[in-house]
Amino acid sequence: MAKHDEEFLEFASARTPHLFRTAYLMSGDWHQAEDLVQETLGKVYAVWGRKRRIENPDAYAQTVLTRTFISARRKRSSRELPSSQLPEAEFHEADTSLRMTLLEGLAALPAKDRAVLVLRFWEDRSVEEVAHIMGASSGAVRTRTNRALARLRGALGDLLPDLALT
Amino acid sequence: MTENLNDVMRSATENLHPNIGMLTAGGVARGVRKRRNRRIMQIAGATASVTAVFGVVAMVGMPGKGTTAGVSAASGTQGSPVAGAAAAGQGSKPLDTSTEAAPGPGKPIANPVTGDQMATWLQQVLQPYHFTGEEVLYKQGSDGPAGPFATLRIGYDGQAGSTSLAVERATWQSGGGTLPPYNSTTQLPDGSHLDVFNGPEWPAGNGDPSAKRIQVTWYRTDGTAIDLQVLNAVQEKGSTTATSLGLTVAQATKVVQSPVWAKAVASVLAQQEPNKPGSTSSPAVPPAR
Repeated sequence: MAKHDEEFLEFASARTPHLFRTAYLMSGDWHQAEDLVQETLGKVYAVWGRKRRIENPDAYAQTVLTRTFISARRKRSSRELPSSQLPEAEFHEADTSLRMTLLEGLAALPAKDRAVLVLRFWEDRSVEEVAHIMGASSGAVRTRTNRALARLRGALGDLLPDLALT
Repeated sequence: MTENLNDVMRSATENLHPNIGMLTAGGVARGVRKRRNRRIMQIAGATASVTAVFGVVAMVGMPGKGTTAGVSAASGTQGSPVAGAAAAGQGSKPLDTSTEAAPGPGKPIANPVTGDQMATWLQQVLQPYHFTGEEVLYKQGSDGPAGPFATLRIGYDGQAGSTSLAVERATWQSGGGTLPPYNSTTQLPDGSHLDVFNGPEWPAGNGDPSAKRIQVTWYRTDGTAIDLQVLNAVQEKGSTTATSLGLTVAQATKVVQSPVWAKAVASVLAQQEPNKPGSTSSPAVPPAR
């Protein structure tokens, strides 16, 4: 196995769980999240080992994942088949309700709104970082964040009464 | 109950446990395809550029009568792959004379090999398996950006698949830990290593389940690797065109270990070794959250 492949596997093994959770929050679907993570890893692998090394693989992978998600949503929006049931997975009952509620709320948002909320609140990214990842201005990210939070609040309603959307 | 969106997201996802091995294997498989497609695009672009340059030269140099012939000659690498390979075969040495060892210190620098030679050698080494309807799909010599390689369409059992062989400069490194699914590695007595993938083209199960792939990479001790990919599809990412693969792992191993590749190996070794981009400066991998 080549050295750069070894390095990539080390990176992928360490980051895949986090990338998957991000992808799952964005897509709201287990299989789509798997597909998104694999596509992201594939894109990162394709440039891994080039002479110009990726300075920050984590950030690079995050950017690839987000842009792939937004791009895929644009392409797939006309042929997606929404389902009211989540695929079977190893869920713990205690957090299933919370997860379902959150995913329902996120699912009601446009893809870019979902992405900006996941990046800002799950990834803890700054406005500037999100702007860079999404290829938008900082002002646009702030505006979209506020709008997305308002939409999420409206979508969740009383489902998460204690949720302080700050 | 949680107090903010960050906590809600964290609580909602903390018990998600994806199959890391499956996702990593799927990612690597996609990455390999992307790399190959990128190589092919580079080659196609380079070929188109050469064709254009020769076409312009022909038009300028032979006004009135030489234009068509010039363009035709220049674009010969794109046309009639089998005929091109056959023609090249006339100039390439037979199997038993092309197995000389790669040049070592003090030996003369090896000549470059052409894409036509690579295609011919691949056809020669596959002869024992009696494929039909062979067609050269892609080829490149040692002076190309991706190194020497050739891809053949192969027919068998009334169906069709493909094989692709590449020679490149690469050294085997221990992966440590557990290999992704469908991968295995073997150290040979001479110290070289054989990496084998034998499984579905879409290991994660999110593609055509009938697509299969065997990939055997022989990491030699001289710093080169000979890689053979066998698909039950004529085109990568295309629909499957056969129910089974045209070669077994054992047969694919024989192909990569054939002495017929000695000249290609020598040509790769003769090229200036690329700068090693900071072998110790691997990308920093911050700890997972």
